[in-house]
Amino acid sequence: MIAPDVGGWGGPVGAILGLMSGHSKWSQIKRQKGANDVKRGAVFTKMGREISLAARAGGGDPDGNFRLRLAIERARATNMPLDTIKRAIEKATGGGEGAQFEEITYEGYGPGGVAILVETATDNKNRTAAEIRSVLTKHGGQLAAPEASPGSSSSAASSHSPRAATRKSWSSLPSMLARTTWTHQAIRSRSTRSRPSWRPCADRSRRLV
Amino acid sequence: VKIESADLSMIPKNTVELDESKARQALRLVDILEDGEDVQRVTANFEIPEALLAEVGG
Repeated sequence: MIAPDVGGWGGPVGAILGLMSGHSKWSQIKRQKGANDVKRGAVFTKMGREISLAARAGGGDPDGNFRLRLAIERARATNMPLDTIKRAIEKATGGGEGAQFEEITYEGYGPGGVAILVETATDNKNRTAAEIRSVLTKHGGQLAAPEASPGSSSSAASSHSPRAATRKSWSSLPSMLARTTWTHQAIRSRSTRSRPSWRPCADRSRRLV
Repeated sequence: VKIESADLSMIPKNTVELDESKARQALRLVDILEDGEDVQRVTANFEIPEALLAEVGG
C-alpha cells in the first residue's frame, strides 16, 4: 500500500487515506515492530558488518565488488534502510577510525560429530572465541583449533576473498573435520529448505494454561 | 526470473546424517550460534530428514 503524500494537510483525498491507514495499519505495524525491534536490530548489525567488511576489502562500489553487491542485496531483502547501508559503506571506505572488524572462521563439532563452521566478524577475538566455545560445549559440541586468521591481516587491498583462506588450515584439523572437505560454490538460487527459519513457539502458552 | 537468493557459501562434500534427537540438538546449536553478536554465518554438514525440518522450520 502506497502511503499517501499528505504534504502539510493537503487535499481531502490525502487526508482521508491518511486517516484510514492510521486507524488500522499503523497500530498493527506498531505492535509487530515493538516485538521485533530487538531482533531486527541484531540482523541489521550483522548485515552492516558484512557490508563494511565487503566495502573495505573490495571498494565501496557495488558494481565492481561482487561481495558488496551480495551483501547489499541481502540487506535490502531484510528491509534494512538504504541510509544505514550507505553509512556502513562510508564508514568502511572513509578511512575513519572506527572499530576494526576482523573476519575469523571457527571450526568445531556439534552433536553426533557434525562439522560446524562459524564465520564471525569481530572486534574482539577473545570475547568471540570464548562465546562460541561456551555455546558449543553447552550444546553437545566442541571447538576445534581456531583458525590463525591467515589472509585477513592484509585486508587493505586484498582482492581474494578472505574465505579462501579457510582451506589452508585444513590439515591441522582433527580427524573428524579433516575428513570433511568443503568447496566454494556460487549458488544461484536456494530453496527454502536449506536453512529452516525458526519462529517463536506460539502454542507454548496454550499448553501451559 | 526472480532470484530468490544469491550467496557464496561453503558446501560440504560429505555429510553426517542425524537421528531425530541429535538433529534437534544440532538445529538448536546452530540457532544459538547464529544469535551470537559477532557471528555472521554458521555452516554445518548435517543431513536432516525432510519431515523433521518441515516440523521444526514451519
